[in-house]
This record gives sequence, C-alpha cells and structure tokens, in this order.
Amino acid sequence: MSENPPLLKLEAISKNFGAIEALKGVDMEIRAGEVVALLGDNGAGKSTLVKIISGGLRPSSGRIIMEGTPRDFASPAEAKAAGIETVYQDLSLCINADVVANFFMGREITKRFFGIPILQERAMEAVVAKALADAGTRIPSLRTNVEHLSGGQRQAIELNRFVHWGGKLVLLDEPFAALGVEQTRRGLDMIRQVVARGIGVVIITHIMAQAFQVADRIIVIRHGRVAGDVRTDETTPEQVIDMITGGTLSGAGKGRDQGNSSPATGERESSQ
Amino acid sequence: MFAGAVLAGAMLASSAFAQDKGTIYYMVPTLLDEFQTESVNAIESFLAQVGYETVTLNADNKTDLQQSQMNDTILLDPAAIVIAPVDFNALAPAIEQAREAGIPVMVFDRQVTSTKVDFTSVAGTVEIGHVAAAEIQRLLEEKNGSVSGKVLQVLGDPGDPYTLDIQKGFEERMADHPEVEIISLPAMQWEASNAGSIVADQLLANPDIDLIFVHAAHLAVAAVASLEAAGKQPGDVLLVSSNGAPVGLDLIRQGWEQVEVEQPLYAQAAAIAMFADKVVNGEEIKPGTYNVLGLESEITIEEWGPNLKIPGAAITAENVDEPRFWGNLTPPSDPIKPVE
Amino acid sequence: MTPARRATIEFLLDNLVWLMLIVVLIVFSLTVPRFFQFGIFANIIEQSTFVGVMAIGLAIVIISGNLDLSVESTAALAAMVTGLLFATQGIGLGIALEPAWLILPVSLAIAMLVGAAVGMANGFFVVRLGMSAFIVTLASFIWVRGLVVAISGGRSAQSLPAAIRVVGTADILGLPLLAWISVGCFVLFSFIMAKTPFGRYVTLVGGNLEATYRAGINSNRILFVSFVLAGLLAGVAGWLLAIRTSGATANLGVGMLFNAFAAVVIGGVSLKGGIGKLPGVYAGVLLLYSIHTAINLMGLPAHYTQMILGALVLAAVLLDTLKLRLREKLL
Repeated sequence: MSENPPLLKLEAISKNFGAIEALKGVDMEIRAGEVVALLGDNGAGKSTLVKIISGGLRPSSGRIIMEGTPRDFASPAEAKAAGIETVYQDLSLCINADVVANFFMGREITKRFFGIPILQERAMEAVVAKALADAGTRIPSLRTNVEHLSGGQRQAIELNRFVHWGGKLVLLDEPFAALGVEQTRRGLDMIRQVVARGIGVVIITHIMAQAFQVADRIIVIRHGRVAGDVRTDETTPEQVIDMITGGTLSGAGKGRDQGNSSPATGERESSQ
Repeated sequence: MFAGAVLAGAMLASSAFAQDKGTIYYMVPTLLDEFQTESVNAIESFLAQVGYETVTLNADNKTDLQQSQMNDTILLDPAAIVIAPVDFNALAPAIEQAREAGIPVMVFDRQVTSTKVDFTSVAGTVEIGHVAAAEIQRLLEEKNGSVSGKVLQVLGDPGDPYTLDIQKGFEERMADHPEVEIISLPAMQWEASNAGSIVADQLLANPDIDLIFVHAAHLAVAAVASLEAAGKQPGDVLLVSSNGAPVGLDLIRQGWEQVEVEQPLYAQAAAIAMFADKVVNGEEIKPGTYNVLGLESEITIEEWGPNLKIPGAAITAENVDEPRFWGNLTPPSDPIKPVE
Repeated sequence: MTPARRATIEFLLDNLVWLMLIVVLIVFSLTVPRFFQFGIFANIIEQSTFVGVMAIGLAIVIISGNLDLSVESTAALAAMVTGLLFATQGIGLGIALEPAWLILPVSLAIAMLVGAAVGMANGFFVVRLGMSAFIVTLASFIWVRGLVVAISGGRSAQSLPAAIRVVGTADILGLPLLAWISVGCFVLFSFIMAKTPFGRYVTLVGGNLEATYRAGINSNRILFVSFVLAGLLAGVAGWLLAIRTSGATANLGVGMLFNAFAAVVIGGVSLKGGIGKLPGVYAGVLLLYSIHTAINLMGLPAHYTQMILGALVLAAVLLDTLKLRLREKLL
C-alpha cells in the first residue's frame, strides 16, 4: 500500500431515519486514481451512502476522513469545495436555462467591473464548446434551453460537466440510465479519462457488466452494511450476485466481518 | 391628528361620569378615508356628551363583514345601533333583524330606503351634486361669460352608489346647460393615483378643459399634482371637489381649488346624539325644522322613518377658515343637548 | 431547421409581447381620437412607473419560484411613511432638512428601508421557516395595509416640499423624470438579471432548486434576497407614488397588485417560476397602461372600464399561452 492516506475513508458510518437504520456502520476506502463500483439491491443503502459522501445528508454517527483529515459536510457546497463532484441519478439540470448556464452552474466565469461581477458569456461558451467537442457530444446550439434537448443529450451534459470540473473524487449515481449503447461506451471512456488524471471515481450501478468493465474494485452494500469488498480481477459476477443477494459462497472478502462489528449507535437522530 | 387626540381625550373625560344610559354601537364602513375616520371621533364624542358609551366596529368596506358584525352586535343587546352601511341595500335584512330584536337602528350618512329605520341623519348625496352643479355653473359663467365649456368629472369607484348619487345630482342640474360638455371617468376604488392619471391623460386629450370636478378631496390632491406636472398654475384649470376633507380646504387656501362642497359631518354626527334619547326610548320624532349646530335641517317622515337632511355648504376662499367645517378639525365646543 | 432560422423564431417568440405592444399602440393611434401624440406616450410611460417598479420586484420573486402578494401594501406603507415624515399638511410632520435637497436621498433611503424590512419579514418566514409564500405574503398584504391605517389613523398627509416634488414635475428631453426613473430601473435590473451571477441564479433556482443546491449555490440566500429586493422596489414604488400624488392617503395604491400581476404575466413570466425576462415585463406594464390610457381617452361609461380591462388582460395572457403552443409546433 502507498504511504499516502486514502483519498476518502469512511469509518463506521451509520444513518437512521427515525427508527429505520438505513446504514449500520459502513467502512470503506477510495484511493486516488481508482474506480470503485458500488453495488447492492434496491434499498440496500447505496443512495443514502452517496448522499452522505456528497454532503446532501449528515451521518448519524461515524467519520468521513478525506486525505487524512476528518470532514463534516453540512451541504453539497461544502463537499464540492472539498473536491467531491456528484452526478445524480435524477439529473441536476435546470431545464429552463441553456447548456452553458447548466455547465457552469455555481462556477460562472465573471469579471469584476466596479466590484460587480459580470458574467463572461463568450468565455464560458468557448469552454463548453471545447469540452463537448473533446467528448464527441453534439448539441445543436449551446444557447438552447435544456428542456428542448433529448434525455441522452441531457445526460451527456452532466457527464461532461464532471469530466471538466473533476475535483478529487467523482460520485456517479446510475449515470448511464438514459444512454444508448454508443453513448454508454463513450461514458465509460470518460470515466477512464478522469481516472487517468488521478481522480477517484465511485460509480453506482446495477448493471454487472458495466461494473466489471470499468471498476478496479467492487463494494457490495447489503442491508446497510458492507457485504463485500473485492478487486474486480479477483472475483466473478456470480460471486458478486451472491454477495448482493446474501448467498453463502466464499470469497466475499473482508467486508463481512466488519459489517457485523459496529452496529449503528445513532448518536444523532435525524428527522429527515 | 392633534384634534383627534383632543377629541379622544374629551371622550375619555366625559365617559368617566356619563356612562349610565348604555352602549351604542357605531358600524363604520371603512377607515381608509378621512371622512369616515373623523366621523368615528365625532360620533363617539357627541354620544358621550349625552350619556352613551360608543363602541365602533370597522367593516373594512366589506358588506359580508358588516353583516356579521350586525349579527354579533344584536346578540350583545345594545341600547341602539348607528350604521353607515357599506352597501345601501345589502344591509337591510340585518337592520330588520336588529329592529325585530328590539334594538333601534339609526342610519348615518348613507341613506337606506328599502327598509324602515328609527332615525336617519344624512347630508343627501344627490343634493351635494346639486350644490356642486350650482357652484360649477357660477364658476363657468365667471370664466367664460356664460354657462359653457368643458368639465372633467372624476368619480370614485364605479361600484359605489355614493359617487353615483353625486353624479346623478350633478348631471340632473347640468342637463339644462347643453353648452357644457361633461367627461366622466372613475378613479377605481377611490385611489388617488388613478385620479392623477385620468387628469394627466385628459389634459392632453382635451387641452381646453375648463374645470375638474372630483368626488372627494383626496382625489383633488392627485389632480393638482398632475396639473402641476403639466405646468399649470393655480386657477388655470378650475377645480371643484366634494366632501370637505382637510386636504381640500388646504387646496382652497393654496388657490388650486375654488369650491369644496362640504358634507356636514359634525352636524350629521351631532344629530345622531341629539336624537339618541328619543330613539332609544322609542319616543316619537316630530317632523319639522331643527337647528343642528347652526344649520337649518329638516326632518320629514318618510316611508323608511324619520329622515333628517342637513344641507351641505359650499366652501370657498371667503369662508374656508370657519370652524363649523369639519375639514378644519375643530369640533364644536358647545355641548350637544338632547332634543326635548 | 437551420440554427439561424431557429434563432429568429426564438427571438420573435421571446419578444412577442413587444410585438403585441406595438400592434396595440398602432390600433389605438388609428382608432382612439387624440391618442397619437407624444404627450400621451410620455403619459403612458410615466403612469407605468409605479406598477412598473413594483412589477420588477414581483417578477424577480416569481422567477425565483415564489410569489409576493404584499408589494402593493408595502408600497403604500413606504408612501405613508414618506408622507408622514415630510409632508407639510394633514398628518405630515413636515420634517425639514438642511440643505433642503437632502430630503431627496433621505426620504428615498427611508422608503427603501421600510420596503426591505417587509421583504425581510416575508423572506424569513418563507425561506427560513419554510412556510408557504402565498400564505405569508397574503398575511403581509393584510397586516402591512393595516399598519398604514394604524400609523395614519386613516388620515392623509399632503403637500410634500418642493425639493422632493421636483421628481414628480421635472422633465428631461420632454419626457417626465418619473418616466426616466422607471426606464432606468428596468434597464438596471434587466442588466442584473441577465449579466450577473445573482440574476443567473434567480432563474436557475426557480427552475430546479435541488439542482442549484447540489451545485453548491446558496439557494436559500437567493430566495431571501429576492424577497428583500421585491420589498425594496415596492418601497421605491411607494416613494414615487407619494411624490406623484404629493402625499399619501390610507388607500393609496389599492388595486395595484392586480395590475402588477397582470403585467408580469403578460410580460411572459411563468407563475411556475424559472421563466421570464424583465424587458418583457416592462412591455407588459406598458401594454397595460396603454389600455388604461386608451380607456381614459375614450371616456367609456364608468361601469364598463373594469370589464374591458379584465377581458383585455385575459386576451393578452391567452395570446401568451398560444405562444407556447406555437413554440412547440415550430421548434
């Protein structure tokens, strides 16, 4: 193992919604330049976990450690500031605004005149045009409102957005749900491209083939615990399916023991 | 404001020793207009002088609210109810209900003719239109040598019978003078800036307007603001208004306005107090002429009961400072005496 | 469809309300006697000032996805405070400042402060406490008007000093200063909405609150500031209204909320939020007051005025709906 601390480390993360324990003590690590696929059945706790990492939810207990420093994200803005980018399953686009506005949402290029920030539309448009061209995405006009674009085009904008902004860690929640075969292939290429820049990627998917195609490591979440944490090249789809469904095959990895060790304690009740 | 405070003080002082005759409720239609606001002060103060305590309920210009206020008040069994109805006829059922419950009802300022009441004290809105017509004929004759020219009439809200009655009275008397062209437009909801816009537009459309007649003094203020903005000097366009609010009297003093047809608020309120004992005790009110704060007023027995009509006076630069006008906000100092 | 053609159609549809305004002005000029003259056009712009300035703030709040029913009462409160402090007749306290011109910025600042305070109260309840904007601002509409009556005792303040009245009487290049002020306000806020991050965020927040939150935009702050701006602009509108009528009455501004809403909707702002541009709103205000002015000039019988206005507003909004259909068909 390298001497550097992992990019992101989760320690005994649990999350209660009232009496329901969505996460019951999750431990995991993500390293820079690594793609981790997060798998699990519906309701296993994947989305809750993603929301906690991206600052959308706060854990009931446990620690988030980023590059060796414990962090507590109160909002997506804080997670973003720390370098965590998220592409959500339900797209985070404002369809009432144009492509450029969506691409730069919250990070507009401005120039100050008499202290007043003024949007630099031309500069932003040039950046978007280049980013989309590099990725091979074609959109008729960057000044078209997103509502006039197809589902695939919208998803492509989201993906291009994370490729462009990158940060340190990218979370992708079912990113290829609306994409065709060719676009999915291009999307997987984008992930490789990002990883090559030394960025960590967490991809949530329920398509086994995609996980094996792109991920270095697979982490399985089951009933709010880590049910398996294995290298992709040391496992098979059958084994992973067993982990997801709670089968009894061996080779499930270290996650099993840890999963039983720290039940959720629920220091803070969440009202959400 | 200071006069109001004095009035309130006077009311408090007198109410300390003269509260033995019971409580009278005053249903005021709104407090968004100076006439109504001052009527509360006047009625409360005058009724206190003749031994009644007054509780005022504001209907906020809402008919339904006033109806439910009436229903509630009936349950409280007051000595009498004084009402200035929001709507002239919609309140008739509530008035009937009160009288059936044995509570006498006096109508103030806004005449109700569709049902019987115990006493009515009004200025006569149609008559205000008549007085205005006479004054406007005089002004036009002085200006143009004959009763001719162009008059812009700015009404209040087109849904308000008060303004429509003034219009009716005014146009009745102007009908004999076909050489006078009358343009009539409403300032929606009696809102001043609407009146200002009408005047600004009409000054362009009809630059030869001789005289503007607005149905309330606060509209006259906006009219003057528009005249000023159009570069007019006081007197260039004649201005007549009705109701006699303080701002109207100020405009006369400044020379912008020539005539204000007053609604005799103090006399109307005083009459309520003068006849309160008779109404509460169910005594007969005899027709004839009565002196109300120095104004010769006449009681007639109409279908709807005893009706006291008090003439409105024309206020001009000559008499503007006389204290009898309510616009000067100095209520009469002589105590009100019940009619024997 | 070629991009150029697409752009042309989008431009035309986006500015349909201006087209409507031009058509209406031409029709009125041809049919309404004495309508076609410079003074009438100047009057229309001048009369649009109060509702116009109010509509800017209302539009910003609506674009951000909320709604503010309190602007009319807020304007009345600002007008009454201005009248109460500086008018010399009626209930006016007639406060004089040395030098006299100081009254202009001081009274404007006070009116803006009064408006902003109401806006902050609205913003606090809606954004911080998560209450419905409709209920909160409806409550403000009522209690602020109540406050107007309370501080005035139902009386009016009249005769503002000349130093401040000049705003209501002065001309620049033949156009009343009031008209310039409303044009200036629209230019300024159109610029802010189109060219600054704040304006961009107002539109984005109105379109998808969740997305902006995820993107790290402080969306609550944007919503709050929108309410404060609406209050502040209503305060300016009230200040101008007091100057125009040389004082304030307790019922000043009554009915303006309807006009402001009508103008905003005619101007192409969607009540669902996220859609709308301020130049369109200005065209909406001008359209509305062209109609008001035409009705004034035609001297229509009093009772029909409201009916005609209502029908015309409905027609204008109907045309706007038609525009959406047209866009779906053409693009």
